[in-house]
Amino acid sequence: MAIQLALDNVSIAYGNHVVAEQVSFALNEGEIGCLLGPSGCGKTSLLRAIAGFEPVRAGAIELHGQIVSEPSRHLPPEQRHIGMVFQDFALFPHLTVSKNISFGLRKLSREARQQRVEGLLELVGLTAARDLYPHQLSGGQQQRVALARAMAPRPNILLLDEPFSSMDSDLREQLAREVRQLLRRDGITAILVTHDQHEAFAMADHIGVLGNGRLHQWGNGYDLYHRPANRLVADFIGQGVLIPGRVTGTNQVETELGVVTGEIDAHDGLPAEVDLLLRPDDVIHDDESPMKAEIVGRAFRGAVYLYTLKLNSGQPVLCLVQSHHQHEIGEYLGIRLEAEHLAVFRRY
Amino acid sequence: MSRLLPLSAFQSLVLLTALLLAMPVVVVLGFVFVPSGDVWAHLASTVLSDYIGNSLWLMLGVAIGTLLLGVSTAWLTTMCRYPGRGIFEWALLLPMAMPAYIIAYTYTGMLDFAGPVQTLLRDLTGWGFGDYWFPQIRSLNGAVIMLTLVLYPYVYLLSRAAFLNQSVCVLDVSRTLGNGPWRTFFSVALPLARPAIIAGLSLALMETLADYGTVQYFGVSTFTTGIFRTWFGMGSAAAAAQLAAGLMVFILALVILERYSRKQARYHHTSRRHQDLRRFQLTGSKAWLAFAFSFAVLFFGFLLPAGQLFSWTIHVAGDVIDARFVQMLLNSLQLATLAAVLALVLALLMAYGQRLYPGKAIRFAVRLASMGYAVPGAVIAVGVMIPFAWFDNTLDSWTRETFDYSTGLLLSGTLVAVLFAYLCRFLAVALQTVDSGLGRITPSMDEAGRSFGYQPLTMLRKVHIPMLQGSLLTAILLVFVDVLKELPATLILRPFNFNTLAVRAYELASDERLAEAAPAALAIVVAGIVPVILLSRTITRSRQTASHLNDASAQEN
Repeated sequence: MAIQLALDNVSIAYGNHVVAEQVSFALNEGEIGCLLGPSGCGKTSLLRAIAGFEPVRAGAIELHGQIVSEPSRHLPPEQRHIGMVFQDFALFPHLTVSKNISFGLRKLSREARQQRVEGLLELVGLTAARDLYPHQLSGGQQQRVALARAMAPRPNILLLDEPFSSMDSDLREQLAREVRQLLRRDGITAILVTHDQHEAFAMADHIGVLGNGRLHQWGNGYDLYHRPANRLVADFIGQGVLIPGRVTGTNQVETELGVVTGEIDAHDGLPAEVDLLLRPDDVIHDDESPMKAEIVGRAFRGAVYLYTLKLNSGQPVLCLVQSHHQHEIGEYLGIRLEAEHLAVFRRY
Repeated sequence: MSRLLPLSAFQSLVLLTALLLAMPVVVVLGFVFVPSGDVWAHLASTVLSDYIGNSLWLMLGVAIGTLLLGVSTAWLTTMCRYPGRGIFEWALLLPMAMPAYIIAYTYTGMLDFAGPVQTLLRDLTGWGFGDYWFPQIRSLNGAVIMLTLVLYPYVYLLSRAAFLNQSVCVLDVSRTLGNGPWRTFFSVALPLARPAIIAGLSLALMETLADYGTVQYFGVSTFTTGIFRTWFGMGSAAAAAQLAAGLMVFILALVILERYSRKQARYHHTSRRHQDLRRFQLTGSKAWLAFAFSFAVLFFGFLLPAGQLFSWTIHVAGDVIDARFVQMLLNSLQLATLAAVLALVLALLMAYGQRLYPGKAIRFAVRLASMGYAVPGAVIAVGVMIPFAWFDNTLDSWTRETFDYSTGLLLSGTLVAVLFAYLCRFLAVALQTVDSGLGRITPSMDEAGRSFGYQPLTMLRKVHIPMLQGSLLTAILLVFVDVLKELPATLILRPFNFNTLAVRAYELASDERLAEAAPAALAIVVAGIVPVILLSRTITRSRQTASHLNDASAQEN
């Protein structure tokens, strides 16, 4: 598969303020990538640099086999052949739905243009709304128009800037899956920027976690959750706690809760003193277990309870328990550890 | 507060005031049905087509001029970065301080045969009178240029606001879809700002139609000069009123255009959630071209004429500034203050009327009372003069018949008439300001106050007055300055031998005593800067908000 987008040690700065530093990743044709991170992590700046709205301070961006951004060379956005969907959709309020979609098609002949617009209207299910104006549409419909407009010129890559952030939270994941299907059907390479990991999991093949302007890990959802590259990723993705431990053998860590066995991805050699990441699903409720911990907090999650437990040392851990097991705060819960992968980090 | 006055009394007071203030327009329109006989026929067969033709040409020229200057400067200062941008952003409003008749006579003084420009030209070339061609400033085209120079800020202000409110994403989208900056401007930014631009344009054109001083001075026959000529020259009130009614048709069309455009503008508002204004950085010759253009507009619209007025003033100050000048200054200040305070009182009455008794009747009354701002001063003057003179004459002949006593002129030819005309014309200014101030005091604040057990009067004292103070002061200032600048209505209605700054400047300029007119004119310009400062403060504040957003989103990225 051909590489469609490649970032090579890209740095971006406004004056002295560096917002992204030495970011590298690549995306194959037809793949969907995601830049995930808290606000202020530099993800939107990276997206805008790919689009050509921001120059790069160092490194290079290659799009469809052509270098489009280098410190010495900057192709303006209108020559990059990209599509972009903005947070607020940025539909043209003075144009109808079909005029919005055909906006970027002025190089096509009239028939070809019409055909493309028809196809896209059908694809996003808005054929009936073709002559309406943006202010007459619902948020979800506006979103689909924005998507169709960006897809219309068959761009080299589609850039989505927090496209679901104005949606109701219960709609987001569903929309993300829908959009993924649309993009897949057209074989479009896309990159999404978001701070919502569920959106990222629902839509992307590869996810890059950004923090403080650096790309900390580039991988799929499973890896980010179970094999976080560092504390920042571990902290940002999913829930969990770090408890002190001691590496006692290959694939063995000894903690307050006993010895845990599991595959260790050694990121930075293997020091003896480590912190072990415990996800709530790594801590199993087991009445038979000799290990007991006091319940100090409890949150109802429907099918499960998320308990916050306090170990003898005062160290808190999280534990997911099916919700038909009701336990009160102050009770002691029997637990044991069970993990396939052990994420350990050097202790400072 | 409903217990302050019985409901019906308060409401009828508001209604009555509104009707009274609408009287001049009603009178003028009513005269359409009064036969004026030969005079009208005479006008129609001779000068009417001139009036209409010249007014239309004037409007067309000013429209093109203000669009070119207003839209381009607004785009440059909002979307581009170049030397001096921050200063131009507010300084480009300064020409608003310059009444058209003042800039007109200033340029005449500079460009006339005896003026410095032509003198220099002759000195340099050795030409004499008649040896060369020089554009005649006192012409229709000259009037177009003068009006354009001082009216483009209306277009500038509104299109600037529109560009600022446009989601920058919309412009970015256009670029990702393969459009360069120029095409983006013409295919996205301009169509989106169109309603706002047209609204600004219709304001500028209303001012154009209302202008009397410039066209009169330049000898261009338009509706306003026609009204004066018919009234004073032919002595026909009815025909003058009918001309005024004709003028009102044009004005009405513009008012409708403006209202419609503002309505459209709401739909053309895109989401503002992602408003980070990253201005295009202009470099090299482009940056200097942008600077030169902005500077030229500011220079010719304000710096040059203001500088000329200043130098004339220095020149003649010793001779002109005497007891008479001080008296005239005091006249103007007193009149303007009185009008401003009265306008504020009435505006408060209307605004509270609307707030306390929301309903169709009051809303209609308020609309009626705010109508005057669009109406040219000459029209208002005619509409005031006719009923006031009728009242005086009727009363006088009745008292003479009954008591053998002459009351003389009670209303017409007195300051009452002048003040009344000012109120008709400028109440809307005060009303708008008070209204927007009152809008910030939400109904839930009143309710919160009530829930704490405050009486309406206590609420007024503790919440309303402190919160309104700024708006009240602004309202007074705006009316004050507008009155100071007003020319045509004052000219028609003032008591015999009663002079104001505007009237005096105009009279001296008409007598070709340009330098002597300068001190009065300069005083008006200086006063006119006050509302410009108020406006530019709003602009700076909005810019701070914008840059604040900018910082916030830069951090977010």
